[in-house]
Amino acid sequence: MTTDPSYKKLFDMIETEQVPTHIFDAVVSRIHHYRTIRARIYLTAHIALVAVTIASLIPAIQYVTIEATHSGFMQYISLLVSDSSSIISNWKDFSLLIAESLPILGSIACITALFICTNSIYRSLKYIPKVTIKRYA
Amino acid sequence: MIQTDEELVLLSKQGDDSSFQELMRRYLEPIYNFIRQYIKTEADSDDVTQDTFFKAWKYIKKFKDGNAFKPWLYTIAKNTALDHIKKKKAVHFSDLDDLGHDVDFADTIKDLEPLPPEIFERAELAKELNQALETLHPDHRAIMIMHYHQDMTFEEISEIINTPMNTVKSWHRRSIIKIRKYWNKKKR
Repeated sequence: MTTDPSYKKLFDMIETEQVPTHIFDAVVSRIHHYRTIRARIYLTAHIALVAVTIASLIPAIQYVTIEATHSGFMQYISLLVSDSSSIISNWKDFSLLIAESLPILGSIACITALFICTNSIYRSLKYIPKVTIKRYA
Repeated sequence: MIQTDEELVLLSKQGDDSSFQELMRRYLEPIYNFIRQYIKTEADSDDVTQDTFFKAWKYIKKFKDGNAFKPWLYTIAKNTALDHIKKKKAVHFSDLDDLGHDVDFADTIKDLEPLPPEIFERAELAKELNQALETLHPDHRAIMIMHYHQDMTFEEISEIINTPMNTVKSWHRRSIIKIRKYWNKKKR
C-alpha cells in the first residue's frame, strides 16, 4: 500500500507539544541522585564487610596459633632456626614433617579474611568520592 | 563530526555522561510527543518522560550492540506510559485493547486517495488535525505520529508497539479513513 504525500504534508503541520525545559535537568539530577544512593549503599556494605573480616581475623589467627602449636609446626620452625645444619642434611624428611604439620584450615581462614578485608577496603576507597561528589554540570 | 546513536550508546555504556545527554537532547522532544499520544496531562507526561530516560540510562548496559537504539527507546517509552496508565487507572485497560481486530472494508483498500487540496487552506488545520487524532485509539494515533511526523518505517513501528507489520499497516489505513471521515463531517 502506498500513501499519498499529502498525508505527510498534513502531519508536518501538526501542533506538537513544547517540551518543558525542566525535564532534561530533572533526569540528570535523578541519575546523579541514584548514583549517590547506590554508592552510599555499596560503601556501607563494604565498610560492614571490612569490620566483619577484621573481627573474624582475631579468632582465625588464634585458631592458626593453636593448630600450629598442637601439630608441632611451631616446634619445627624453632628447630629450623636453632639447628639449621642438621635440618639441611635431612631436608627431605623435614619438608614432609613441615607439610604434615601445616595449620592448613586456619591459614586458609586467615588468608581468606585478609583478602576479603583488603578488597573491601579498596572498594570502599573507590566509592568514597562518588558519595561526596558534586552534581555533574 | 556528528556521532550516530549507536556510537553514543557505546560511549554511554562506558560511563560517558555527555554521550547519554546528547542522546537525551536528540530524543527528548519526539519521545515527549509520543508519550503525549497516550497521556494527556502535562504533569503525568513529564513524569513518564523522565521515567523513560532514567530507565534508558539504567539499562543501557544491557542494550545489545548492533541493535537500533531508536526502537528500543520508544519501546521503553510506550511500556512506561502504559504502566503509568494502569497505575492511575484513568482509562480502563480494556479500552486500550479495543482495537477491532476484524478485517473490514479499510483493509481491502490498496491505495488511499490523496487528501483534497482545500484541506490545506483551512485556517485552523493544525487544531482540527489534533482533534481528528483525538478520535483515534492511542496506538493508532501513535502510529500516525511516528510514521508521518517522526519518519519511522512500519517495520520500526511494529517493533516498538510489538505488533505484526501487516496489522500496523491495517491500523494505519483505518486511521487515515477515520481522519478523512472526520473532515468530511466538518465540511457539512
